[in-house]
Amino acid sequence: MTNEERRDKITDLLYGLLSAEEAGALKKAIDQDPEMQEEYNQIRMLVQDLRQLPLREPSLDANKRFDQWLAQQSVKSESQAWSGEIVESGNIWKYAIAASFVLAIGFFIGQEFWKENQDMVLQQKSKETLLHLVADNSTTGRIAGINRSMDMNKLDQEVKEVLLAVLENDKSTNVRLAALDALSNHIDDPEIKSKLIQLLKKDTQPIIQISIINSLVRFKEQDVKTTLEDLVDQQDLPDDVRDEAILGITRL
Amino acid sequence: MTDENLMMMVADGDTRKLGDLYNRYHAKVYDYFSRMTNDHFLSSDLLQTVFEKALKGKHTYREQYPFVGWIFRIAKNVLMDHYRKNKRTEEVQEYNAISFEDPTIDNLDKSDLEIALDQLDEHYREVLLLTRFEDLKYKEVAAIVGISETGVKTRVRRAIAQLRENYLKVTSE
Repeated sequence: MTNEERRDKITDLLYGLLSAEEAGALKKAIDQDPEMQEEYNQIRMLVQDLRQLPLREPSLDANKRFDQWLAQQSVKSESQAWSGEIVESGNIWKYAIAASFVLAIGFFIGQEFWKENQDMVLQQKSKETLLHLVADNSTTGRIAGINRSMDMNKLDQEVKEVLLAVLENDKSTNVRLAALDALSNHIDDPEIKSKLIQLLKKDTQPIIQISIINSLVRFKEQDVKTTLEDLVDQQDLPDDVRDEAILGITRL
Repeated sequence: MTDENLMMMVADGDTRKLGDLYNRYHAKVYDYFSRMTNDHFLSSDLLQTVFEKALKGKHTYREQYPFVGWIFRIAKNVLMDHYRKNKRTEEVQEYNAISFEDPTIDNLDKSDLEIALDQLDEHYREVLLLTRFEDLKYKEVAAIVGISETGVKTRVRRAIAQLRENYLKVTSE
């Protein structure tokens, strides 16, 4: 076997292109030949790294543009389906009169209603996307889902609960931090504020505790100050967290 | 629900279901464009175009065809269209020795492997990007790239050999 043939066979093995018999024979040959073993290890690492290369993500703006476009297309296709049903039913004139009447009223309510409706469609779409992505297996998927909430002026109860649960329980620190960022935009919500205070007391990850402190200090409220003072008194508190809490107290 | 079921629902008029498919595939399709062009803004535009074309061509979709292969075939066509439309401009730019490097994707942020991958010939890079997703079978990659299945296998072998050389060069610099 030439060097090139050997290298090709190793590639085929790593890409699952060999029969069980061929794969077995090649593995045996690799085990017996140190030079081949080294080559195999190099290519294996390369292929492994290639497969694990993180996926690049489009910007939030790109996702928002898609959501807006899809919302428009959905409204368009739904209205087409509706008009198709009317024509098929044979009552087109009755509907036309009713539609004219509705349009006359709609003229006055007009643009505001349309805008509100569009906003609702977009908001609902963002929510569906968020809830879907937050359940994703990949870290990037979950972060992308959480980022959808950045466009929401107000979090509804379901989204709020999901984000709080992610902040408290997700196995990835990056995902937890993304959830904290998202919740920090709505920190004037008493439920969110209270949950962050609770979590600050019980969480064991310094980076999360420090980030919560930074978010809470924005309040400049006495109960946050008390929480931070209690925290500083904890004997087993990591130094970095204690420093941040002390800094927070001075800022309040 | 499978991708194929969702796409059939889109084809039947439930346009919103395209959002679910976008959620599942936008990163993969964007990553393909981004690593082929190294241009963040262009890749975002091409990604949007892919899903617009998917909706426009929804009636051409057949349930027995894996959605992932179908969407990447659209992606490949969108990329080729872009190259065709911009060929002239690029030639002029090349002549004027203007750098094509996108300031939004900085080499400093790239790993050695990503730099080695960038240095690959485009057709080699493409097969490696497509075959790294386990849900894309060689048969589908062959249909996307427009060569035979055996051709894909050969190309993957050459690509890995070239990538390994590039990688060793990059890491020794």
